[in-house]
Amino acid sequence: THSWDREAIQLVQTLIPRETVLFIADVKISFDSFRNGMAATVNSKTIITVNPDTREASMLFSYAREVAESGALDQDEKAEDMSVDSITDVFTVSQLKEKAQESPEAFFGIMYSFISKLDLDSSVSKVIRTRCSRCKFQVTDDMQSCTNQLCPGRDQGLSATTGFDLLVDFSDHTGTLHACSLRSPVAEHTLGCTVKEFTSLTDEERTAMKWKFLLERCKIYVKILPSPKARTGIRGMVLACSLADPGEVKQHMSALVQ
Amino acid sequence: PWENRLNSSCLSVPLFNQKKRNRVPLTSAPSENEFFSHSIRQETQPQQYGGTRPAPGPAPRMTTYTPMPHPYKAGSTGFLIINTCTQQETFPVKPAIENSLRILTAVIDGMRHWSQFKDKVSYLFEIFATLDSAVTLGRHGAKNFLMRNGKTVVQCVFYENEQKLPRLIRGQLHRCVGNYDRSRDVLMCVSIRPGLPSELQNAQEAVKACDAEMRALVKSLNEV
Repeated sequence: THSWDREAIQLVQTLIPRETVLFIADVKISFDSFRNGMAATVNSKTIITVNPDTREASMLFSYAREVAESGALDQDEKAEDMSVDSITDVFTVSQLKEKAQESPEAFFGIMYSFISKLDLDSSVSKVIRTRCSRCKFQVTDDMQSCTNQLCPGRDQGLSATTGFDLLVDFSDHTGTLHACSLRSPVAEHTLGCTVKEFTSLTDEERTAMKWKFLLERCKIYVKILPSPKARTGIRGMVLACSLADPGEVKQHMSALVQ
Repeated sequence: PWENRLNSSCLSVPLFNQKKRNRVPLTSAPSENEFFSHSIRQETQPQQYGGTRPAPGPAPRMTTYTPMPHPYKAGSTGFLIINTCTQQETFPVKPAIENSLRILTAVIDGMRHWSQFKDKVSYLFEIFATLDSAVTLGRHGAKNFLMRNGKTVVQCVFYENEQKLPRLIRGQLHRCVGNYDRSRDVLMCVSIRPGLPSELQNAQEAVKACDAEMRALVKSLNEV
């Protein structure tokens, strides 16, 4: 008798995030231990009204649009203001993954691990991306305006930012943390190279730059965002990354065996 | 604060005009056990929302699934998560054994030992060792050489696919990272460079930590 509600699933699949106001009457609200939070469950009594014609819904929609435009909803995506100097907890890859499963909150940590994926010498378009400053949608410089249908600044001229936009893997003796985002300006500091300098490098120079870091042990300051929607359940953002000092690695390793 | 505002707005019933709500039954036949008619109302006309931008239109009919491109990453809609299942499902939380790539710092003997579990876990090895031979040219451009830890020696091979083999000096410490081919007893190096004396010294602790991790892993493999 407990079946997935096909109608409700099909309905929500058609909804556009941040563009739709829902009025939901008669939902069951209970604690969801998997998501570690309160979740609303649709049952047979539930009525979902899409974009209800009320003043409150209109105000809510305007408010959501304003907030989306301000970028406040992208908090998770922002490189934190948190200074790396205040990050002191050291983790192995498996410890990071465990902690992410235990806490729904974002947290910070240091890893001493090897960079096991760093695609600096694939096409430049995969390393450096231009995004609309308003909605972060990927665009090209020659566009007049953002091509994202839902961009809040679509009717204005294009305001774009170009920067490093890499997904990097980190491995140690306990496993691999996949697809951590390494973006500007952290990437500039890590690689010791500006976007402009990078675009003028030859393929050989890019490969050489890659091997300065690939499979080398690095000290990585990372922000971990537990993300139930990601395949791995976890998203990492690099806040700082540099080749590790062997003495520091030793300290970390000896702390592990004790 | 955003989520709280949103949730309270969405859920506080008196805010909304209840009279306007119609119940439109779904076309699917209700099952015999259903006591309540399950209905989801859809707006039939666009709403007026303030501002210069067109209002969000009516949601498409439920039967059509139109994936929409969206600038924001999924996962932060700001809404309550609508769990469309009527029962709490239990999801597999974690595979028993972490099987993503590991990189182990090891001595040559240790590398040979731990490689016996390669079919269960994938790993690369980092070794610090002394170059114990000249570099010789093999088939398909392979560069062959020997590496030594004390009395233990291992054959190594490097292919210059992406980068040239750096100048290696016999009798000097080197750091190699690669994949150990157990059947041929060869370390296929993907990265090699001169090692720093401080690295060798400090690597002892990494070797210990990796051994401890591997012992624990092997124990759990045997228990599964």
